[in-house]
Amino acid sequence: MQHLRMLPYSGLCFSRAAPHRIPAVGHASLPALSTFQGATGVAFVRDYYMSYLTVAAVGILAAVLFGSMLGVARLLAPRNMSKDKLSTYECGVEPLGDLWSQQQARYYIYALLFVVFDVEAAFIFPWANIMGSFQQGVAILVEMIIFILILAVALLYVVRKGLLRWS
Amino acid sequence: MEKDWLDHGITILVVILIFTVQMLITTFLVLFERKFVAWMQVRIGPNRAGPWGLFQTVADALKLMVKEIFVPRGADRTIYMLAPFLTVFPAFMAFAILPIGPSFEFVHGDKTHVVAIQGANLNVGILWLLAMSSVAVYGVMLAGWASGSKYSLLGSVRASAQVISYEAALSLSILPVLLWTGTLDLQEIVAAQSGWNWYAFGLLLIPFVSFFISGMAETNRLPFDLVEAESELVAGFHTEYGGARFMFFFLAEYINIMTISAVAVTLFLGGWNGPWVPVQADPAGWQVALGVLYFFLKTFVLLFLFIWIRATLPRMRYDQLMSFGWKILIPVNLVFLMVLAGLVVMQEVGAWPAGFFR
Repeated sequence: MQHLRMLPYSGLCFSRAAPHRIPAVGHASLPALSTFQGATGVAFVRDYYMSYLTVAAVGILAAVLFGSMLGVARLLAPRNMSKDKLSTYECGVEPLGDLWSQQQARYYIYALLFVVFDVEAAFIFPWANIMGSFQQGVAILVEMIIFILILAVALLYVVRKGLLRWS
Repeated sequence: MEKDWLDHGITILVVILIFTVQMLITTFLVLFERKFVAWMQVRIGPNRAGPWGLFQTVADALKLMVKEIFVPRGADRTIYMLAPFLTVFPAFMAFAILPIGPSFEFVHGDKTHVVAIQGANLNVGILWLLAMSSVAVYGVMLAGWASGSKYSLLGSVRASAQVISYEAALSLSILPVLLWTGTLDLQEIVAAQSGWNWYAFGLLLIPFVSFFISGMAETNRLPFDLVEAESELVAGFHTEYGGARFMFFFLAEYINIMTISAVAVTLFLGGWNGPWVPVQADPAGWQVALGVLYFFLKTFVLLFLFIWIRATLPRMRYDQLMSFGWKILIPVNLVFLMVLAGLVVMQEVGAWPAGFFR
């Protein structure tokens, strides 16, 4: 991937060759690992979008498959509606009260905690990606440990507050 | 290296092939699960539809397809109909970017074509997998909400809380792989595990176990299947679903299990690596086939583990589930991440022998 650094579009490519951590066995003679390898300039960008187009094709394939299965089911299935059949299931009795019942606010805590840790992950991912290629490894390691510890304090706070207990 | 019609044709062929194989394996996975669980419980299991019950899933699917399709009165029509698809969709999308076998070259005319046995090689590989596992929450959440039933809603709120909790653990257990290889590209991650340098056999065993547990919670498998706890919630989020739409949820569960296993194989168990399949420029035909075989063999071992655990462990209590995720899995992962980052830095400065504990 060395040559990609010279390309104007190299910002699109997250890959970084790490020869010191990829075993020497066969690394020099790896096959074209990336679709982008060897492509230059406009072709590189085209391949980049092409790969997403391929994934989109899989999605369309899934949609077609499930659409057609539902279509076949629609053709085969009988149609005999009645009022009772369409009522919401509640163990056989008439449904009582509002269908969208109230939920415990407790679940809310998990949503908040998730946001904290997902944002954390969003920051750690780019860090982990370039970690090994930095000269100032110790400095960025200490910085990230401070960041993680701050978040650990948040988790500790929640635990000490007893918000994860259910009694 | 300009791509021509042959390259695009190969890509389309590979995509269709992967899709078909995935559907086939899922179909038989349902049967395997029922058979294995039956044997573990000293029963015979399905044995009527075809030899050895081989067509049981097909028979079930046909039966479900001729059942009446209806939308219950209290339901939000559009979302109710969309939800089953939303649960299947991300599993397919995630599987489409996994490298299933080694790339090989062939010469046609005066050009050399590279065939990658992989739907698409996204350069954001790992991030795409995480994104898709996040999208998968929507299907379950919307299905429960749109049904307009109390049981469904309760099941889906539980499911969302559970899945997002373990989502955090899942992304934290993928991070060590990224830290260790320094790339998001799945092909390069597999290549870095060539020989016997599978990550699960070394220092990264802890994240592998954590990934597997969180994956089990993400797919609502048995020790964590509070989402559809039959004894409490009837059927959880799909209580109001029947016929073909129920079949989609059923299939989605198994496709998700398969995808999670395949992702675990790619990230931690060396992907298609194995004896006699070296990472090299131009592997022989039989080596390519062997690599693909290794990939599915390893996936199958993990799937068997899924089934084995299902037959062995009882369902967890909800508070135990949540405190296990937040108080054990996530802190362990965070500590491990910091230790590993320390080791990487020590390798950089030469205080730790490079290649040790690979």
